[in-house]
Amino acid sequence: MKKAQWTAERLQNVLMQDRFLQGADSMAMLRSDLANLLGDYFDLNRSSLSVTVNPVKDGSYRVTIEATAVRVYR
Amino acid sequence: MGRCIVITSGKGGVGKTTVTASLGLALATLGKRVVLVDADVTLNNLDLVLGLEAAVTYDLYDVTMGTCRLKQALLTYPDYPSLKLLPSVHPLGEVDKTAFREVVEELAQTQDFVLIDCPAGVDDGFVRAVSAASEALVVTTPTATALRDADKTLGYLDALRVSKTALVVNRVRGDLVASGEMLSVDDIIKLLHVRVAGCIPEDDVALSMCGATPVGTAHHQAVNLLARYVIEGKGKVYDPTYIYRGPLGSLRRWLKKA
Ligand SMILES: Nc1ncnc2c1ncn2[C@@H]1O[C@H](COP(=O)(O)OP(=O)(O)OP(=O)(O)O)[C@@H](O)[C@H]1O
Ligand SMILES: [Mg+2]
Repeated sequence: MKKAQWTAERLQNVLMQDRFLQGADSMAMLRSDLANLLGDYFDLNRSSLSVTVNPVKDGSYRVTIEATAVRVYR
Repeated sequence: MGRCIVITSGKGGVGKTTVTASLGLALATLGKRVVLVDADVTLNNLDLVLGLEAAVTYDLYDVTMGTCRLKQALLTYPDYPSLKLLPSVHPLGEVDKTAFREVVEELAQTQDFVLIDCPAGVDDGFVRAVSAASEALVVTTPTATALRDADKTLGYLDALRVSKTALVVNRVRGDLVASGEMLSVDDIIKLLHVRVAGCIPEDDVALSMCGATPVGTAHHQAVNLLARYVIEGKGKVYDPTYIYRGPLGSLRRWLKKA
């Protein structure tokens, strides 16, 4: 792999962490926002809610939200 | 009312002062009235880069303290009457944030551009410099460390309500970009999602004091394009890989390595 490409991939990871994951506040805020939103539709097990962010090759990110619900509301 | 632009970076030594001086010169050459303000109060250098260090009598601190009038502290660059400098030579003088902003506002009334040379880091000096500006140019080199700091700086600028921001990528080596060893401007745009106002090549002439670089050099062209981008808010940025493409370019790259 060319050095520039390697640098870009590492940097993409670091920027993501700086902007988001390192800011514990913003992660907690997002989880609580999501729990509230999903809570309107599902009987959510709040502690099961997880958010992961992974860089994708083209410079974008894949955001995965996972949660377990005990029940689906009507 | 003139535009107040802070030249900042996060990481130190990436070329803020050099870019401030050369952009100021380029804008003045294009007929604009420009004043450069040295807001790097403790580690001032703008006077030296412009070759005006011997002419300093009063400075920013004196103006904010009321020791002299603003006009008395302004130095005019000999070859370009429309380029002025408000120096800083009191390393221990505490320049008040509000007083600083008032000085910049007063300058903006008679100038087209007020360029504020910001200290490195994101401490008090940064906040003071930024609070007087409505636009920012974030200088970076195409390295991971400088870009990371630039990204954080963009975040702080956003928090400080400076919404018109753009990057200036400095010390770019066209040969290394062409061979895939250095990040290109396009790579950087993709990573940071930011406008790039200029791309300045690594160039020994940038090291010469007194700001002005010989006409026709790559550095000169690049700074001119940056000045036009700043004036119009859009435009072309210099392409440092241009001379390193094609068969002749490969030869140039090889010669540069040798
Ligand atoms: N395009 C360039 N090519 C070669 N050298 C450069 C270039 N731009 C800046 N330099 C050199 O890099 C050094 C640091 O530049 P400068 O003082 O402008 O950085 P700075 O960001 O203002 O630093 P500080 O954070 O200390 O204020 C200087 O020696 C300068 O001549
Ligand atoms: Mg400097």
